[in-house]
Amino acid sequence: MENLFGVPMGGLTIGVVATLLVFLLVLAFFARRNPVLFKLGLRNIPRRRAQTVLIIVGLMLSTAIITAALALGDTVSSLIRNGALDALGATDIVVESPTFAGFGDDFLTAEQVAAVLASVDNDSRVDGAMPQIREDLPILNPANGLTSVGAPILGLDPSRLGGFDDIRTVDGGAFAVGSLGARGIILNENMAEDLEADVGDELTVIAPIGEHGFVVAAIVVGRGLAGTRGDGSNASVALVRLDAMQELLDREGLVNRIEVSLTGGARPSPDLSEDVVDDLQLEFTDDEVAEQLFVSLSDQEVIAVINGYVADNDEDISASAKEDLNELVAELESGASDSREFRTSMTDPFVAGTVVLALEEAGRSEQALATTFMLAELEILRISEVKVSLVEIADTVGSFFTTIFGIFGSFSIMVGLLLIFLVFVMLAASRMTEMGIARAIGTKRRQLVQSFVFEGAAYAFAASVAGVILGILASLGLVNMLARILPEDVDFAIRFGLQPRSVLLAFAAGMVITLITVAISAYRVSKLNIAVAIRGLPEEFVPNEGPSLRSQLRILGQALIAPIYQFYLGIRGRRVRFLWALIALIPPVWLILIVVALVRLVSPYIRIGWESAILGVVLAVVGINTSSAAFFAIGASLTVVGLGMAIRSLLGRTELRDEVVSRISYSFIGALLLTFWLLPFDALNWLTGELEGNIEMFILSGVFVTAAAVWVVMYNSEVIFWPVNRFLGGVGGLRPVLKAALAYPMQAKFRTGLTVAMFALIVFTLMVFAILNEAFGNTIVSNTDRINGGYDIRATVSRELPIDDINAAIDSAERLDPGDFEVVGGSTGLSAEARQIGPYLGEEIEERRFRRLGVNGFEPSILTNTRWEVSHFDAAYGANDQEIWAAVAADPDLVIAGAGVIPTGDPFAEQFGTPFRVEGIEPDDPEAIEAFKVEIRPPLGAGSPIEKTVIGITDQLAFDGSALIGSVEMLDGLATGDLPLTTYRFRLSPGADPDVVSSALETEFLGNNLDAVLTIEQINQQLSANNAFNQLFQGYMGLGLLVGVASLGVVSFRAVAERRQAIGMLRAIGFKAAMIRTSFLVESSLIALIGIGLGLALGAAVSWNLLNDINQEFEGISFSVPWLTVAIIVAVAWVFSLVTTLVPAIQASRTYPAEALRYE
Amino acid sequence: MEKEPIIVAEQLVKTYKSRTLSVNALQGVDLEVMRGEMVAVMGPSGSGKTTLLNCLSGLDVLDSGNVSIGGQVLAELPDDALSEYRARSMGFIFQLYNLLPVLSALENVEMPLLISGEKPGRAREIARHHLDQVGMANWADHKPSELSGGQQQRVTIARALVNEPSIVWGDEPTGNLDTENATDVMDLLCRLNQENEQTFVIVTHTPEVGGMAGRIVRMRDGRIEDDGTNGAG
Repeated sequence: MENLFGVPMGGLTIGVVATLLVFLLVLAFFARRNPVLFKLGLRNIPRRRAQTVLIIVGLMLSTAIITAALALGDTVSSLIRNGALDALGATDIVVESPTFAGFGDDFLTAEQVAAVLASVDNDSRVDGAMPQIREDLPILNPANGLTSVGAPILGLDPSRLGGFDDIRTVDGGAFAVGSLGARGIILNENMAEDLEADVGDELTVIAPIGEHGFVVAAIVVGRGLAGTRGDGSNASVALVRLDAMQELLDREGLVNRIEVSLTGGARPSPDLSEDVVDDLQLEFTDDEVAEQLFVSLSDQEVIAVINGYVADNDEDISASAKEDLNELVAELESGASDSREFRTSMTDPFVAGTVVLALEEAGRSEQALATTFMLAELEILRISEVKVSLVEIADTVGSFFTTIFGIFGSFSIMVGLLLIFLVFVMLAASRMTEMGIARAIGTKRRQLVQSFVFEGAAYAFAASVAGVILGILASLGLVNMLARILPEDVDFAIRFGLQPRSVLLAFAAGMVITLITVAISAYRVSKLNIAVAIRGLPEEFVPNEGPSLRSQLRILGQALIAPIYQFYLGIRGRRVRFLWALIALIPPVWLILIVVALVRLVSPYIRIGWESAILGVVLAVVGINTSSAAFFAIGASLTVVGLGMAIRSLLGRTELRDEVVSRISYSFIGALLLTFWLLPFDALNWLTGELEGNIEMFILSGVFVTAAAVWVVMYNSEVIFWPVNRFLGGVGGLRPVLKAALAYPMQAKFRTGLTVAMFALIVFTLMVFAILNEAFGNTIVSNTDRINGGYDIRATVSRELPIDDINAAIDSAERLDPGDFEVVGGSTGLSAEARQIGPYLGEEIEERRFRRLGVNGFEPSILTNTRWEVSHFDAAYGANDQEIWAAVAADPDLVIAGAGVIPTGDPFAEQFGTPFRVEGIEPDDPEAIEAFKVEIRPPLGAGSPIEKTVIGITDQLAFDGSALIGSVEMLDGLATGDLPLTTYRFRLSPGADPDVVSSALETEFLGNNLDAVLTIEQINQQLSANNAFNQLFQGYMGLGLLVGVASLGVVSFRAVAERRQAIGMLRAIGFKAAMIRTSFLVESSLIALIGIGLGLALGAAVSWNLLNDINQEFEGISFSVPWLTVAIIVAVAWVFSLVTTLVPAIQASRTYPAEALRYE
Repeated sequence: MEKEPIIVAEQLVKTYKSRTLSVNALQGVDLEVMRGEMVAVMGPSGSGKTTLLNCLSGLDVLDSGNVSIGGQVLAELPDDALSEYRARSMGFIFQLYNLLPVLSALENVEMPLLISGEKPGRAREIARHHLDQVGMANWADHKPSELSGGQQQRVTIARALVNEPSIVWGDEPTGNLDTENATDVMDLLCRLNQENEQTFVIVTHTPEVGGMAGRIVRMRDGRIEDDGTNGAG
């Protein structure tokens, strides 16, 4: 994996490790200055071994979650990467005809082949080149009737195997391809399995010129030349001699690709690959066209046009693209048509496209069109860096996974940080008396902080090491789980992959966040009141009056000029300040100093409330003005918090007891925040207009609703516990047990609230995920017609072996009964580019570039009988879905767009570049829209654009990609040659068996390489793949539950220590050992169950809103609770929390009363 | 009529051991306490007073010897039965009050009743009555942290007596109180002892407190040094 959150992994790792090193250096500096404090801090560690272990367990979980996220990303990345590298073997570069499949003949001429071979054979960077034909042809095993369709046969030249890996037989030996006879065929393992064929078996290959017999010469491993090419094709491959393949296709002396192997082994080398590709591209660019293009573009006015366009669109063009464009301009000003830079620039689709667009924008339409035509002829051959591209895709997918896991894992990491905080606050509570005494005998506050941080750093180190190990073990478990739950027909093996760099990053990140949390906790702890601490009153932090406004302003001033100020102090004689000046020069340190000073300055005022309410209103207004949902929501929440605090401050001046004041104000804040965050997303649109929010809103809503709900519960515990007391209190001896069990956690509101919040946050995420998964799964299961259009079978045939007339063929077929078919129709498609032509609804279209999309032409029978739904349409063309499809079937100028053309704001939708998007239509717009026009053209330069009218947009279930759908005739003008129908759909009559019909179709149309699949099976496979991912995800999120459970363990162990005397007293007045045990278990159960209950309820509420919102653009999705999952979540969380508390509970119950009472 | 002994202790031996240290806390103590008697156990620090109280009340286990309360040998009772016995028949007053800080005064007092299985409504009524008896009725809803030391000790006394136990054990019940509060508390204990005829065994090192008891048992080095009727009592 190369990127995470868009940041290169290398840079990220260096940054985090450097931060850690800075922290460690600072620690080392203080340790050297104050060795006594250092020793004092560390001496605490072995004093109570059990406590130390518990702390390390508590601290390690955040690191474990980060490690697991990185390991899963690395595994997915290496899964795809290794799969691609294995399959490609030595092949780095592929040379093909520039004409796209579907636009004409894709074979290279004999002269082109000779030229390429001459070039690469003399290139020392190249160690092999293999001219070949790769084509899908059906193969039949006559002995058992089994067929292979849709899989490629590769014709290769045995004399040019140098530089490529040996083709190895399944027995382990190398197969001598040179010995392959003209009728010999090699099968890779998958192909042999498909056909159940063995060495010596006779097979029939069905080709356009007839059937040919071959004898299996070897079964080989599916790697290298016998591997797939990452084109999504079947993993089955067969190999024959090139001359035999040429004969089969009647293409004597021709090949359709040349694979090139570079020196340096199987690993990709991007720089070398780019150099060779550029050189080859330069060589196979048309000189004459390049000269014409250069003359046309090197005009000063054109250069000005390009410069002007770049300047006008500064924000839209990336830095690297700008660099490329500037290089082109420099070449046009002073270079020549044969320069490497000019040709490389013009064969770059983005640079070339921008030049055309700039010309169009400047009103030079004719020149733009002429340029487009010249660009079409500029490339003689297309040279692709296939290995580098595949590895890049693997990394992109890996980063995508890590990002997803990282975002959702952020909840667990947040919870982990809360736990670290809780651990240290409780550790401090247990040392309160000794810290009080230390302060009393003259220890300074900062010395106390240092001692605590030294101790914390040691824990952080051990915890980060343990966390990395736990994370690796957990991700190993998850990867194994994934391997087991993946559908059986998935062809790749799951292998665990974790890069050392990720381990280092996880360790460093874990340690940095732990150290920061430790430092914050230490600072909080150090603010103790000496007298209170010595008396050992628990959790009693006396509010600090704090320095005056004047001194706070002075501190802020010092922070703003920190390096200078420290330097000044150094000059005044305190030499150590020189070092401080250097440290303060580090930008993050300086920034932290300023932020801390600012927070200290502002915080006393925020506590009163009005200021934060005003700040909240300002933020909310900023949110409305910038259409930012996050700013608005944070602002509104801050306003509520501010008002609540203000109420608290006002009520504090009345006679009301502090408890009542807190209850009123915090309940007010909690209830209002809950209401605000649980409102339907568009409820406040009348006030705010439409706001834009993304995944950050999900994270924010999780945090806010949980905090709000916990606030309400903590300050109204009596009301919530009334039914528990009422109904369980009457059971046997439970009443006194409940009394003690309920009273303690509600007294320690801070730690209880924190633990409840941890459980609630994790369960919230699990619940939202489970409900969304259930909802989408149910929608798919109950709407299969909306997905497959009501067609039972979808079949593809080889482009080289089309079916002339499918209906006539069925009528005359022996094995098929025409009565089994209700609707039959074909389709074809090609890749193209499109842009919207404005204005639309009075607005100009901002995006003027052509963007990629798929164009699909269907026969009328499919379009008029389809059950695909249209989510938006122009009523001028039809009153309902059927009429809209019929209009498209009847008029080749009309098309329907796939749902993917509407931008959703999904940050993950554009991982592989921006496809065509429509402007002026939003996902939740009403059904009625106005038709709009688009220009479509083949990929850059391959032809002039044609105009179509888009009269509707499909439902997401039908076509979720960026595509245009119309009649077959609609494609006229896009393709240079005839476009054969390559896909067929069949709706069967009631009573017809899809399995039987599907295999009969494959057998009957074997000669056309027909590959039939049952659409319902495809849907089910998709569902089970989704389920596999969901289970993996839930397993990963389960790590977060561990954090909640660990926090309960920490709280329970601490409670036993704190309540030792109370336990003794209870035992003295008659509590049995079992009652003590039950009391602890009830207490932890209550905390866990409140957290779980809140998480479930809040998760359900937020999911309800989410689904209602999704339903506006994805009709038919409905809310339902996955009860089984809920039961599992509750059971697992509860049982684990009981198990964790059992040890301290037993420990407490076994304490003899006299011993407990004696303990001080 | 001759009073019968309610507490009979024979040859009590208790030794505390750590890795490096062995302390003979009780070295063959024999003691009889009559029903309705108020006994003060006195002696210097480390003489074994608290250990004796703990062993007599079943809060701690003996190395050897026997304690029987009302004819019941404590060592024969399993832990649960012993707990039940304590809940029904004993009350405890500790130096550090040992109230549950998270419960109100009233809730603290009603706790032994709830443990004994009293109905909640009735338990509350009795607890209120006992709080009233110790002069704390107006502080019923306050938590211990909101009460003074003397007030807390009164609540502890109410809690110790709420079950109307036959024996009340007190471990330095005035140890944390000033003289005025200590005298108040002892007056209260003496009054309750006389009114209810309950047996009081009180460990103290304060002569004034000892002076208010009917009998003083003096201990030194784990042995009873002197056992005599207190003239003042």
